[in-house]
Amino acid sequence: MIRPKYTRSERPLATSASPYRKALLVNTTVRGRIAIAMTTLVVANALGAAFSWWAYGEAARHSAEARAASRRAALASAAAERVTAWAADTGTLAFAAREAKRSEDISGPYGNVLGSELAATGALRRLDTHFGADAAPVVKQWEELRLLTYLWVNSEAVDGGTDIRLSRMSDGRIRASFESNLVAPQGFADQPASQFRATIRQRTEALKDGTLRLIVVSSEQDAVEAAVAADEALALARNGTIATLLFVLLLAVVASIWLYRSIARPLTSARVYADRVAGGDWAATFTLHRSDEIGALTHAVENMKDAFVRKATIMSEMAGAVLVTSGQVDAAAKHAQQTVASGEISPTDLADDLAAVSAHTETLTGLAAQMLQD
Amino acid sequence: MGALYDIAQQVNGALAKKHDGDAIGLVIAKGELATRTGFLVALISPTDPDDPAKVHALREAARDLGIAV
Repeated sequence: MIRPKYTRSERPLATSASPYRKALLVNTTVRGRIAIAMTTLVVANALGAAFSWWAYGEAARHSAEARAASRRAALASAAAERVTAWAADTGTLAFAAREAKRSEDISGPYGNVLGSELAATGALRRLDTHFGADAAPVVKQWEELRLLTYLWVNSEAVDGGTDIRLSRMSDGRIRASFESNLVAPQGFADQPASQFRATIRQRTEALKDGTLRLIVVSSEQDAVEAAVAADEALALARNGTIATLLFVLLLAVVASIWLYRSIARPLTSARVYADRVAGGDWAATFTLHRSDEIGALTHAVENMKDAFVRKATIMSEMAGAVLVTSGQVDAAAKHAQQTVASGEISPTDLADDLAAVSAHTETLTGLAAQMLQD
Repeated sequence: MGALYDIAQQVNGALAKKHDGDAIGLVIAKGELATRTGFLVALISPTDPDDPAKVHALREAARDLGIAV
């Protein structure tokens, strides 16, 4: 069995080909193919851009988390320093209160305590702002430590026989006066100064090296983990962007090949076919069966060829009729000439010759009329 | 409908076979056929009605040209 030779793009699809493949390769218009290719590329680009946007967003979020954790660690560290300074100043004030004879004798240490307390409270408040509910234990520890410390200063003043006492104003700050409104917590009333000192030292250490230190360490750890996560997200974003670019590039190559095979190559075949027809090859055929614009174009070329062939056939037949008729007319004319030349002029013969010429001419005229009417 | 067209095709095929390689002879033979029948055979289409006069004329002209249909 002789199989027709097709180029790959012209080969009819097997009947077993899937409807999707047929739809893509045969029944889709050229505009549809271009639209499919462009849409695929745009969608792939959009998905890639969305992924990159998400990944870079994740990296930015982790970076922000790392910065926030570092900030918290710095705040906790600063708060610990302020508490240390405040503890030192309160020790000085307690010693001055024990030794003071007049209120002016403690004005210097008192002013230092006011300043350091303000600084420590501010640092802890900033910590509270960044930590929220997690900083509540720190604030509570700080309030208890302040109260015990000022009670201790008052206790030292009592031991030294000094009239100066620390009391709390309505806004929470302390002031020096001759009476104290500080209320000792349960278990601390009328305790000796030495007992206060031990408790205060222990609680100060607990606040500085316990709670605040834990905050510093955990915040630094959070910062490191967030920085690592940010690096990983950045790497993912970078790799994802590269992968997307490569994928889109591959998709573009595939789309180009597909468009070339399904549009450019059949167009070339159609052009070759049209050239053959234009060159007079009436036997040329085009076996590409498509329902797209290329199929319509080749179908139109085939119709045009068929019309040309029909016209040429008619013209050829008409030319033959002209040749035959001219021969017949020529024969009748020669017969008439011979009759005249022989001197045996017969009106009947001449009339017959003229009638033959007239009949042949009439036939030819009829054929010409048929041809022109077509 | 279609008999006239079929006969015309047979006659054309026989003429082409008879004058294979002789293009001018084929043209003249077709012209002879046209002048004898009084119509252009190339104009006959499959949808043309089977006019008995045309069928007869075509058969006669073909026989005159030595073609049996």
